[in-house]
Order: sequence, then C-alpha cells, then structure tokens
Amino acid sequence: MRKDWVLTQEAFDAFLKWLSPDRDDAAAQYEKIHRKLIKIFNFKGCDSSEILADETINRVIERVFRSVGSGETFPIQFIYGVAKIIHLEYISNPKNFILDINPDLAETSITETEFFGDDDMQTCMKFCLESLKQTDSELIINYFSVSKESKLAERELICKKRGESMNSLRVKISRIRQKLQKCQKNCLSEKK
Amino acid sequence: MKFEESELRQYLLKNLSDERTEKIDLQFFDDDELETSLILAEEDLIENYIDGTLSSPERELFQKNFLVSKHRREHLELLTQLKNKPSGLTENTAGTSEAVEKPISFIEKLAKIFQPKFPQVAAFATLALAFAVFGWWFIGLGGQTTEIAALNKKDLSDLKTFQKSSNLNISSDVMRGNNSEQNLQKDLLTENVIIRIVLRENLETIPALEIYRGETLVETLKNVRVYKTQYGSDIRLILPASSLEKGSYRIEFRVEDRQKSYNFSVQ
Repeated sequence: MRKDWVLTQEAFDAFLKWLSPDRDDAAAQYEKIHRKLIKIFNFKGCDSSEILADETINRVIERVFRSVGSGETFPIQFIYGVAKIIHLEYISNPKNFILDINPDLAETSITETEFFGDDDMQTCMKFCLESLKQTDSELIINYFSVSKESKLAERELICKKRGESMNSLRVKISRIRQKLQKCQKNCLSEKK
Repeated sequence: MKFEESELRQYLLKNLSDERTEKIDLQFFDDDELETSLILAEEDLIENYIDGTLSSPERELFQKNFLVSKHRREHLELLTQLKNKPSGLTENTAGTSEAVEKPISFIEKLAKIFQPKFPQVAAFATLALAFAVFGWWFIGLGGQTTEIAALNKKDLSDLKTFQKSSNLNISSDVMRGNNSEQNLQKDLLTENVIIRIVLRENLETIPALEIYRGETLVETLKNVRVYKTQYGSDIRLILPASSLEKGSYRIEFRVEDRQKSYNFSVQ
C-alpha cells in the first residue's frame, strides 16, 4: 500500500463536497459506498475487504483533492475504477494489504484454522447454536439436515409449515448462518 | 436490470466476461436486492459443492477461484458441520441439556455451595455479599477506573503474552467510522481485553485518552504509551472485561491538533 500521502481533514472535506454539495447527503453516500466496497471485495473473494475499501477511498480522496481525473466522471464510476486498480494490486500481492494494518497478527490470521482441532470446532458449534434463539437453531439444523435427494421437497415443507416463500426462508437461513459463523469465529479465537 | 442466478454464480466463480462483471459491480452500489441475490447464490454454491452437485468445470472453478478467502473457507466449514449434524445436537435438542455447559456465575457457585447444607452460613454469606455490593456501589466506578489505569501501566510490548486474551484491532484513520467487524461479544470475552489502535503517525505517548460509553466518559488515561511497530506505531489498551458493558464505545484523543475518534461496540 502507498504511504506517501497522508489523509487530511481538508482533503476529506473536498471529497465529501465532490460526492454531494449537501454535507449530510455526502456523509450518507460515503458510508454507503464504503459498505458496498467492502461487500464487493468480499464477493471477489478478498480476505482484507475492509482494508481494500479503506485504501480505495483514500486513493479517491487523494485524487479528488489533487483533481486528478475525477472531474468528468460520476463518483460511483470513478470510485469503481479505483477499486478495480486496488483489486488488481491485491491479486498480485495480497500480503501487502494484510501486513500494513495488522502486522503482528497477520501470520496467525492466515493460518488460524489450522490450529483448531475437531473438538474445538464441535464445542464452539454447540456453544454458538445454543447462543441462538432456540427457534433459529432448530430451523437451521432442520434446514441443513435434509439429504440432497429430498432437499427441495423437505424445504418446501418447511416453507409451507412456516407460511413463507422459499426466497424468504433462504434469506432467513443466510442471516442465521452469518450470526453462527461470526460466533464460531469469536469462539475459536478465544481458544487460541 | 435483474440478473439470473446462473449468471450470478458465474460472477462468483469469476467465469464471466469483464463487461458483464462490471455491469454487476456497478449495479451493486445502488441495488440492495442484488446484494441479497449474490448472498443467496453464494450460499447455494457452497451447499452444492458439499453435496457434490456442481458440474465438473464448476467444481474446478469453485476450488480455484471461489474458495480463495478465509471467510469462505469458514463458511464451507460451518455448512459442512451443519450438514453432518453437530454431535449431541439433533433437530429438537438445540438449547437442551445435551448442549455445551455454560459457565456458572460466581453467585450461582456460592448458592450451590451453601444453600442445601448450611442455611446459616448462606445467610451470613448473603449479608457479607450485600455489604460488599453496598461498598462497591459506595465507592462507585472509582475503583474500576483505578484498576484500568493500573492495568495500562503494564508493558504491553510483547503481544504474545496476551495471545489468549480477547483482542480488538482498530485501524486508522480519523474519518473511518464504526464497521461491522469492530465489535466484541460480551459473552465470549476473556478476563482482560486488548485493544490495539494502529496509527500512521510516529509518536512516543498520547497525553490523554478518553473512553466513552455512549456519551458518558468512563475512563481517562494519561500519558498512554505508543508502541513502535515496523509499520508505524500503535496504542495498546488493556481493559478488564468486567468494565465493558454492552453498548457503543468511543475512544478519543488528540494527535497534532487533530481529534481522533475510534468506535467499537460490545454486543
């Protein structure tokens, strides 16, 4: 990552003004763009999505402040263009985007899963399932315990019982799964 | 524009033309429904991989292009565990006695020891506890803040010593707000929590650092040491888990006339 330019309040203000003349609107846009960038990098399979999003915004702020190529483009397209460059840099050297922000722990985070045995995983899974609302833990266990052959029919039955569409059930399951994954990650890091 | 799930799968597998990839990326900024569709496509891909129902080329792309992040590997691991049914937990036993034992609180332990056999001792213990609680209340947060200040006089240069403690890393910059990763799970905290704030400036100390819970100032630390790393420097704070209640926290200090503010939350 580049270290030769330091973000200043003046540059950040110029960036907000570039996003929108209304400061509140600009701040809301900034938050949304930052969040979306993190998700895009996640969907591209990047490990350091937040750092990549931060770096993208920093570079955009720098270019806007120096008025480099940002004048004639819509903000989203310009930001996306910069994000593509950052993504290419990440692909060519992912470690650059891990070490810079969290040097001492970078190595452990890369190989973290290798430290855990099956027992830890099982214990954490049980703990995390218990931490969920009982209806949620039962739902996610039921949802995934079906065989691949009867998956569709059994899940349609779950939808029917709950009186909801398959899409809505899938969204619900995904949210429970995300909670579970976050809990398991925290639980395993406690066991390090 | 609505994208077919099959196309979103190819997007995730990085098997789409640059032009179509860019269309999805750009639409993503303004389309929350597309975000949901991508999440669902990702869930399906992982489940299909576990079920062995991906086509051979898709399976190859999955391994080569999709399974490249730690987050996705964890997702795969979790779904594999769920599909194999976690041992000791079946559909109807989640949350029952078969599940892992929760830690017993001090009060519960006390009650367990005294209640059945020695009622008089239990009464005395209750009184003693009441006095202790009153004393703690009387002293107020003063005792806790002194403890935090004392803890933070410790030398935290060797992070390996604290490897088993809960930790939270907060990245720079001044403008970055809170985000989804910057939070702690109250139930999972170790006795002490290490908070690191990575700085780009090279400093020796921070004259005053303030910790707020919501809008209430809960702690002021003076002359906070800044630790040098090969990439810059960082502030390392140590907070007892007992001092962290659920809620939003803000750490504030000044660096070269600039106010810096970092947020995290305890859930």
